[in-house]
Amino acid sequence: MAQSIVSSALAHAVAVVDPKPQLEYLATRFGIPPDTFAGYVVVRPGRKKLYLVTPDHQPPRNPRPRTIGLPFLRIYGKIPKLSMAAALQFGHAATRNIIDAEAAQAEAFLTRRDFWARPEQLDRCTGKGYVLVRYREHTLGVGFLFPEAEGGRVESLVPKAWARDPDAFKLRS
Amino acid sequence: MPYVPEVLQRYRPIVDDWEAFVDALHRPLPVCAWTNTLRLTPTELAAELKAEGFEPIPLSWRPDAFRLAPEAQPGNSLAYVLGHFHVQEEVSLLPVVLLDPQPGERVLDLCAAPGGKTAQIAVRMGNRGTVVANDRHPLRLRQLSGTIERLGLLNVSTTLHDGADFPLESGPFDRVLVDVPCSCEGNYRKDPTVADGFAGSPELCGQQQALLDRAVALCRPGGRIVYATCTFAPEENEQVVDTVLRHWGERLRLLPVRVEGFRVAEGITEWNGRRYHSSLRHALRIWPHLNDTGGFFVAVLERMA
Repeated sequence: MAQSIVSSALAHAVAVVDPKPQLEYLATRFGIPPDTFAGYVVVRPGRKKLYLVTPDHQPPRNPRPRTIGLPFLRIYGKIPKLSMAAALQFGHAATRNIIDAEAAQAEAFLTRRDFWARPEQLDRCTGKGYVLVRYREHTLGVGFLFPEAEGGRVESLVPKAWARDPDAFKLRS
Repeated sequence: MPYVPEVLQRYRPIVDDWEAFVDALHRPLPVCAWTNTLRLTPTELAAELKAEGFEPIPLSWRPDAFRLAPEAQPGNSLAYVLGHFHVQEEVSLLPVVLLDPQPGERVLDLCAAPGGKTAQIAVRMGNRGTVVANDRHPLRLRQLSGTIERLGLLNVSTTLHDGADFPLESGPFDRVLVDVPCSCEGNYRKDPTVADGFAGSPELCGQQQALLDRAVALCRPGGRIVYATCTFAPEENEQVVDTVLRHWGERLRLLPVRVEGFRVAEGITEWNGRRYHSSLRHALRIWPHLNDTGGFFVAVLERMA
């Protein structure tokens, strides 16, 4: 990632993080080029999550910000998890571990239900783990793929607050 | 004449067309959606909304925003999930237009949740610079974070603090929006129970005054403060601004402003025998019948020194 000039107010207000390991992970798992995040700074305002923010951002030190910019990665698990917000914003740059969903699958995903992916939908997937779910070229968010002998189960990791109401949500087919 | 709650009757002397006012109160409120221009153009959004079966009509004063039928539920569309637009009452677009934030500036939204106006500010600043969005309620601040995340805003920090006591060392800010908690009478078309009557209660007005006073203190000299409520009550509107103007004296002034294509009434300079600063006529009163919206009040202030 190109080094951005970080405002001193930003560096005073929050821990600025070297994002190299995270960007390498995103490049390996999803094929997202590290340059995608050039022009942003990665910060860690709390314990669990990294955030992406513009380098000229000047948050206050007091009161201490709860969030700074856009949630990027949740880092307290074994494997970092890309946030739904970052998936929406940067998912277009991914080249692997992507599932192109059909309308019924995308509806299931967005209403926070698992869906079944057929073997040919897993052509670009490298194995068990996080995947990006796309519909009509739009990245919808992050799922977790459990490959089986034929196809695989995709668990929807859409946060509760984002989930659509299954009784009201219908995609145009 | 249809029913008008007792607490709204007292505005009869200051409403230009009482019949039109009452008539508007009983009409369902149109839905309004504004374009997240960080992700697509208004023309592209209009096409998406049409494809979803809506009939978007661009607002004459904000061509990036669209009026939809009162029964429309655009939140159940793919375009909404993708953060292509935000749903917000038309009149709530007014304060940010008047705040007029510029890319690279440092802007504070003192009472920010649920975050629709914060998002407008962040988008108008081109996703650069600094927006500090503060609220004192943790749950409502969560809701604000959801809006930031869906719309992809990279220039907003959120803080949890009492706005009236927001630390001065966090400043100065180029612009401060202070959209205070109020009696919400202007939301009557959405929720008639708002007219249950605590408009102008001294406790509420004291809180509003403290918030506006702190907003002025946090703003740099030469900077702009926008005070907004969604109530008709002069005690929460002109009277609050009047008190703060008197406190700051020559260091603060009320700016005359207009928005082309949007009808407004002047602020009042007298209520219940109390006279307000003559510049309060520059404040904007938005009665529901003027633009077929909710009710609103905005005052644009400049800190002089």
